Amino acid sequence: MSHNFNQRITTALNDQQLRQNFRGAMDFLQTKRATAFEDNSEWQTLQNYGASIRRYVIAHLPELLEELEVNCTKNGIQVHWALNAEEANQIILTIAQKQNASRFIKGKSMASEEIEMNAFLNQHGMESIESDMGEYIVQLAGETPSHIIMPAIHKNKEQIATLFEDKLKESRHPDDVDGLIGVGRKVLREKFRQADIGISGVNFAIADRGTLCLVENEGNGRMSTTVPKTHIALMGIEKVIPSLDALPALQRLLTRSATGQHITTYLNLISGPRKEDELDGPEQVHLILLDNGRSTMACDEDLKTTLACIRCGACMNHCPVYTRIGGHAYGSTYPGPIGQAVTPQLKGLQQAGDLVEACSLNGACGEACPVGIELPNLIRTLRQRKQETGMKRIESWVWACWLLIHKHPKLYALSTRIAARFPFVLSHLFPGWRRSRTFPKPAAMSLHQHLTHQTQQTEQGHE
Amino acid sequence: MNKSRARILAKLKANQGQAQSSLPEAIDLNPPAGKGDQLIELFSNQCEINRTELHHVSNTSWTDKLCEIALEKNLRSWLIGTHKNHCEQAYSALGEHRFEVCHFSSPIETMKDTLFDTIDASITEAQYAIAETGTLVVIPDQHEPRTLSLVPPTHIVLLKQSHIIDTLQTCISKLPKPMPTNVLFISSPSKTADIQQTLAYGAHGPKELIVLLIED
Repeated sequence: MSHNFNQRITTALNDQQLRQNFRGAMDFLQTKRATAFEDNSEWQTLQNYGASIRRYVIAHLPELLEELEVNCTKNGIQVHWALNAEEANQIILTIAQKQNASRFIKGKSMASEEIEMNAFLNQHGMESIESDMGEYIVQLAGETPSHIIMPAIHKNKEQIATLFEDKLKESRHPDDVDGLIGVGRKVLREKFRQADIGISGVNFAIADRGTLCLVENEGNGRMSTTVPKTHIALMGIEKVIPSLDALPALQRLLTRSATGQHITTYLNLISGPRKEDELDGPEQVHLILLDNGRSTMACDEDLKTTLACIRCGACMNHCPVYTRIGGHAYGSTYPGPIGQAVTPQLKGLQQAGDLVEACSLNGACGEACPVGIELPNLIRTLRQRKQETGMKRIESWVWACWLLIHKHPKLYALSTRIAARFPFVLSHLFPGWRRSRTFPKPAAMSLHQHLTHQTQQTEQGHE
Repeated sequence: MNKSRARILAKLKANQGQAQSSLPEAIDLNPPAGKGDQLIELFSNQCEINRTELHHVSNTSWTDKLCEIALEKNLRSWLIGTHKNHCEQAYSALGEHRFEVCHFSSPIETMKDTLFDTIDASITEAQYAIAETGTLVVIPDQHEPRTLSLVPPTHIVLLKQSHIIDTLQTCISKLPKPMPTNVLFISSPSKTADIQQTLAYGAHGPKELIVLLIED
């Protein structure tokens, strides 16, 4: 693994508070999901449907996107296509400049994290405030989200209370969670009121109606997409679905997998800007269709099911590696198993290939995935491709030695005798192993020696 | 930008496989058994689970209940829509008890201060409600705008019993074409568990959601 990834993993593993926070959070989310899907036959039916509808979408992506564009345009939504992150950011900037806008309020959008929109806008002298409570906390702390559904999952209430005290000069006791939320509400209400432009993601875009569906619990999504004069919705091209008929099942899969809820507080269907006789709602609604490597993924026969993802977070909630190292260790927008599938495809194996090694192939992620993405297979495929680009020198050396020893019986016998007589030789070859595990003790005799000895004894017995 | 559009679509089209799946049929999501009274009971139970306050009222008594709630919770300043019958009734009833009542009758740009700073509670109707999840379906329009059900800290919803339907699936089949600019499915007061997974209410939307379920 690269030094950086290794470093981040080591740092995370040594952070007892972080590990405690994540253990608690993952247990909580796993339990919530399990309760929501108690009826196993219902789960199977839903998962099968989710898998087949998402595969249908991948197979018909261009037609669905064209249909979405036509219907959104009919509804007065302006549709833009962005090949990559730079283009997406440029489109957003252009919209802002045309209106002399400089204040953005953002509902939750992982796509906007992917294109690093906040940093880009800041560079151009614009303010972009996160309005989801968890995202706001993370932004105040100068960090990035560590989970795609619960961005501040790595922080406990003591840490958050301290953060509010330091950055906002608002003092609340850590146990007064209502009070802490009240602080966030007060601060962000001003931001909603004053923002020029609201940015959101899109959970599902309905092709046959030109409708954008957003799910949320807090109300910040509704605020961001309703109060400012302009609403920009940023969406990965894979988020389109054929019709409203598919929504109930997909909504059920999404919310139950993410937080165990049967439905979120708000399900918001947006089909256009403010009509002439209406009194509120944005005057302009823009939809940015973001490619940023997704069309390449769609062409990859082995990896295209990555695009089925509905961003529920269930895979990372069940991943034993993610639970122990947390989201930041991955160093990418999308952490956990889905991040291990997506990031090497978005950034290339050269830059992000290390991520696929942080996997024990236990398969929990694939089992939990509501749309049946076989994540372990995707990770395995990426590992194989990574090996094909060439192994690291030390790995090649190790395998070359292994091959040599195993091709020559006398060398093999010698090596096993050394291992049996001097076990510390073997264990000192793998210092990393010994840092957190007990090294296995080799047997006194190799199997070969054992069997030879036994055979001799039997032969002697017969004489 | 049109170049990007062309490139994206060309790439996607060039690599579409020969064998393409047909559209999977929407599955039947096990609707809750029952209709009429059973649906009402299911809806009420769900509201309780969701921390939505529910009151059973009649067509003639709902304004009394409204004022009772206003007094009990000290909701002094109200925002209501325009033109609809229930708006006039609410206006009279609340006015009689000397509560301040404003109509949302001009664009939000002129209403922002009132909306954000002074209003304690608002009233909207719900076109439908979904029993299986305790969800209210609010379709904003020029008479009851979107922010009426979002910004004030307490949101009162008027719902007729006969408008309760069983599932989201059924509800979707009733939505008009073309789609209204905004359709809202509201299932509880605003909430979040972003601080150490501890549930807290009143994140950004209304802190209290109160349903007046009108017998009809």
